[in-house]
Amino acid sequence: MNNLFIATLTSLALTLGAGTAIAKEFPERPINLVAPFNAGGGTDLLLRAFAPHFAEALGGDVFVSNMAGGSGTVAAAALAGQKADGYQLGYWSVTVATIQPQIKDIPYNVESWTPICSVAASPTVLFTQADSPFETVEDVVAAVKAEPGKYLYGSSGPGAITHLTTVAAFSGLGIIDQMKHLPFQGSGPALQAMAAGTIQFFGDTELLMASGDFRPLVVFNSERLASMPDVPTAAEVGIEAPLNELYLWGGLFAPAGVDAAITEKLSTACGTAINSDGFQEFAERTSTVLNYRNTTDFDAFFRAQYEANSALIEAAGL
Amino acid sequence: MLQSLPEAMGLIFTFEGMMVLTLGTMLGIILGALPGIGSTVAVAMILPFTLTMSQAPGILLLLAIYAGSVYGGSISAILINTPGTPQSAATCFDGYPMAQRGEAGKALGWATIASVIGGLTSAVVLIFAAPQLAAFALNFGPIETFTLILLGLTCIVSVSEGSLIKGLIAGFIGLFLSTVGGDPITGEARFTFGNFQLIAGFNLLAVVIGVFALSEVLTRAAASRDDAAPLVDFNGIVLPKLHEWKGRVKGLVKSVLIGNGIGILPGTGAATAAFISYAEARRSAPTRANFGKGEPDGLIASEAANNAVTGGALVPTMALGIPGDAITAVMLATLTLHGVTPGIRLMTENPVLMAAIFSGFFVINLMLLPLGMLVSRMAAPILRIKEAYMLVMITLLCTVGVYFVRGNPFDLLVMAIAGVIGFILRRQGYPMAPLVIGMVLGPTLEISLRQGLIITDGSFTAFFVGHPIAGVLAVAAVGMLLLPVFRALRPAKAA
Amino acid sequence: MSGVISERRVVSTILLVLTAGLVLSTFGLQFADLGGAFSPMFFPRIILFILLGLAVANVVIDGLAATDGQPIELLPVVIIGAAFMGYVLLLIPLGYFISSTLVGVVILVALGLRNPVQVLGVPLAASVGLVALFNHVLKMPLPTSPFFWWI
Repeated sequence: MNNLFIATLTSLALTLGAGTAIAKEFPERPINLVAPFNAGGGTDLLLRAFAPHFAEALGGDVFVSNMAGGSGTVAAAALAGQKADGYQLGYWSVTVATIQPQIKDIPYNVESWTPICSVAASPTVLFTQADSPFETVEDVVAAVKAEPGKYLYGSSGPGAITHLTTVAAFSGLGIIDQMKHLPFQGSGPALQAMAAGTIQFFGDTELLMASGDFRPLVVFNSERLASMPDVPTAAEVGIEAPLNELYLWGGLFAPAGVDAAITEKLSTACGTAINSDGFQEFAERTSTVLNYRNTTDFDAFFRAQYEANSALIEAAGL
Repeated sequence: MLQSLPEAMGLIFTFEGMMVLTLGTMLGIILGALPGIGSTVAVAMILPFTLTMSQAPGILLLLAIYAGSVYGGSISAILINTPGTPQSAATCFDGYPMAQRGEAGKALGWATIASVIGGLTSAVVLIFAAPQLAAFALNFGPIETFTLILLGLTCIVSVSEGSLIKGLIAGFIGLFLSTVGGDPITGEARFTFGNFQLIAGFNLLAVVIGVFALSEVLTRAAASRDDAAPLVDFNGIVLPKLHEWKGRVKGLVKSVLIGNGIGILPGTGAATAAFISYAEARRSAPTRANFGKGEPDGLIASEAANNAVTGGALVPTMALGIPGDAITAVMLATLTLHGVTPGIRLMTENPVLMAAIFSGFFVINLMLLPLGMLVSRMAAPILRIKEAYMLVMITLLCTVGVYFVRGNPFDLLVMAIAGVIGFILRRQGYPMAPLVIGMVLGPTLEISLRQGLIITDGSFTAFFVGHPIAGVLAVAAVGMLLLPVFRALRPAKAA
Repeated sequence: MSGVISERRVVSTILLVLTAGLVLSTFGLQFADLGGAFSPMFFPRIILFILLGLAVANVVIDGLAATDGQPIELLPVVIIGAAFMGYVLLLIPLGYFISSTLVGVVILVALGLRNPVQVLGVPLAASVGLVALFNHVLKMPLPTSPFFWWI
């Protein structure tokens, strides 16, 4: 209690003393990382593992809070309207940052953010049940064309990365109109339906695929994955750009208009945290593919993704 | 599974293991018993601590908090008519009337024994039959789920005390509220009328806390007060005597089976199980005429079923790597963090860890009885504080609970409005339990119906061709609906 | 209250009007016309039509039945109900600590307590305890005030 008192007094003194040299003193109070999903989800755990290393790199306090709902848009919309002082950062995935604002009427868009850094990016994989008759993408195309309307692909919900993966695959192969989409509430029920044979195809990251007996058909990456060298990339099976690469990426965003010096400081600290031994070990254990981009690179990447994904959204009919 | 048990025991019966289980269960009971704080918030509070622990203790702590808070939720449901979670809503039906009669200790005694038995049996089922049950659960496609939810909805009829039509109205209001927000099939926004916040829909817990807890605060403010009287007359748990169990065992067994059965199905959960079990008990129990007026059989039905679900929900989680509810999803994510890949290979690759989890779950349920008695003895003096102070505490805790469910300030507004409207409706004889039932079952009812229609190309009659389970469930649902009519006609004929 | 208008009849009429309005709104909205189960209005329309039927029957029943008013202490209910609304609206701008203390004081005064030590002390102690627990022990911050980040 005594320590707390001293800490508050000190920070109060700092608040009063803060003047022009903002960046030098930054951060003078705890930084809030917002996870746009419930506590205990993949995003939440990643942020909670990231926070202590980020705090160390910044030389300040960092805490994680959760604001869930609306596929992450509730948190993003709330943060978009906050003060751009760098004390509130959100961890947005590809869907929260680039898909949802283009399919829903929500109060933020590509201009609402100061991208800080990207943290992770995993390519997605289209897969089917391990005992299914489909060995290759050619088998799938032939079967679907032989019996239009018979086969179903699942998703964890409309507009989710799972939905976009299947759309990229079947739209790229030109057979999406001969198939049906069956959305579920989350990946769990969808995978159970796949095990029961209700749906035949599903798409997600490699990590999720590894949880069941599934057979990968195609990888949405620029090159084959080292972990499954026999699985072709989307470009190899004839899926054309921009549908041939799809990543589940995530990174830190602040509301637009953060002071450049603070952005720089946050971005550098983010890089240090990602390269820390502790966080690297976490990524290893959870098969998370880390991918650091600094604020400049991430800004360009984010804008390019925003454009590229509008093609996917159109194909999905969202 | 069985051959790994001895080694698993070595993980549990250590100083650390037992500390984790005891403290975790106790903390879970206390958190669950606080009005407004439910299992979800309790688990979220503990999660950061488990991240620094090693594999087995971390998971066991989460399990202890989970099982403890499910039980703790029934304490506040019985004593102050405030379920901490939707699954305790059915416990209010008979628990609160008993407390009002001055039998709060007895009501908690029944609830405790039923909870412990429900939990223990589900742990046994988990240890011996998880893979087989998980395989059976695969038979439940969208069409079967739809008919099961229909069966659950018939329970609205049985909890509509006083006016059937007002109960049905409340139930359908609940169903409607569940459709507000993003459409589960197309993603389009429905009934948001330009309000962005409504895209995410109404949060179930915000509505539950509003219509039960806050409207209770208003109801008490509306009644003439006697400052000297405490809120409830409660001096600790009074366990039921053996002879009082006469005629109740059959209902208990049935409720346990219902809880276990529903727990293993994807996307249904503890609230559904408690409602279906309550409806079934009300249909078949010899004491059915007293239901809703403080009948122990009603309490047993609800509590045995919702605790049996905790084990059932672990079946698909552990056997298939598919979470049975939001809490088990957290556990799976925690496993991932500890380097264990959840999924169908979990059992074969980590048999000792799984055996430790399952047997730890058994131990937790054993400890519910002594720890529950201890916590409620400690809580008894707190409940004797002035009613006005209690109402302030309830209000403050409700905001904490609702705020932490998903950190959304809009949910608080929903809670306050639900509290005021709930108060007005309750005064005019609209029961609030059906509203909660409608909101709990609505999303699953809708998505399973529409998925079914997509699969059958829009033919509703095709639902019952080649789906024997669905047929049986549908017949049962119709039977449940018609039963009150038959019952009403029979004495008339005799007379 | 006397005559045709009673609390109960007003509530059932409001429910009917609201339901009718919602039913109408499902026809005015612009959705891609995919038909059947694909339409977002498929399920809500079924629910609302049944609800409409029930609401009509409810108005008839309440219209026929004799009504008996229940006693109510109106003033504390109105004050506390309004306090709830104010509380949740002020919680974010003022933070948990200030708004909780305020709502606690209002509830206690509305319930008839007049001893200033009790009226101020209990809400203050409750808010301090909760804020200390969540913001500083558990590191799960409740909304903080614009004045001091630690409460």
